[in-house]
Amino acid sequence: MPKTKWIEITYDDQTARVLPESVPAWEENGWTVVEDGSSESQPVEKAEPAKSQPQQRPEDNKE
Amino acid sequence: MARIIPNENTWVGFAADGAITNISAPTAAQVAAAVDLTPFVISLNASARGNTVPTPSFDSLFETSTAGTSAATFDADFYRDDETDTAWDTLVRGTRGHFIISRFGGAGTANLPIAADHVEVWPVMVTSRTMANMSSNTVLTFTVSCSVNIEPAENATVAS
Repeated sequence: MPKTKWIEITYDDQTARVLPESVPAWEENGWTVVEDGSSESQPVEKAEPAKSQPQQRPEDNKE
Repeated sequence: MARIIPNENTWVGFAADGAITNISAPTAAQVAAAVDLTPFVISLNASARGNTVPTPSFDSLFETSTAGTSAATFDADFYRDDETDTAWDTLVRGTRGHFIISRFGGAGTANLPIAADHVEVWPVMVTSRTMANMSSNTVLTFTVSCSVNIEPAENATVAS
């Protein structure tokens, strides 16, 4: 299965990724293509794994 | 208080993937950088639906239920344009991004949402972009269907 090619674009200090076919539409809206900003991997939103908090044991409170 | 129609009130924009960092509080700059699709929108259906799971038990004739999962769908119809075909060119199949909907319109120019305005932010991926059937005396339109790949923010506030 061919990987999707994504083009990185920028507007002021913002960046985003779009499909190559839609780049002209974004350029008309003021966005510009970032040189060498293309990637072939599908952008995936990864959720941060919940960090387990070390539980305080009752004996830790003993002095 | 007033009951209004979407015409000349609602604002609809599409932000590219990665352009909105916090969907619950998109910044005014991020909203302004979105493509304004308002002139192309014919209809828009962004809806969520929840499931309930029956939990009956032998000790009662009343059938209880508990909250289950919820899901959302996003479909919209747009006009084509023979010169500036913004909606068609932006919403390519496979595109990821965020629909920003201000149903009552923002306080900015041409109803653009600005800081403190309330909007809905729907993270989507375009699963189909298909033309409507052609017939005589009918304007060319197309339909976009999207998957909602992240829980939408249905009461987001635009940050400054």
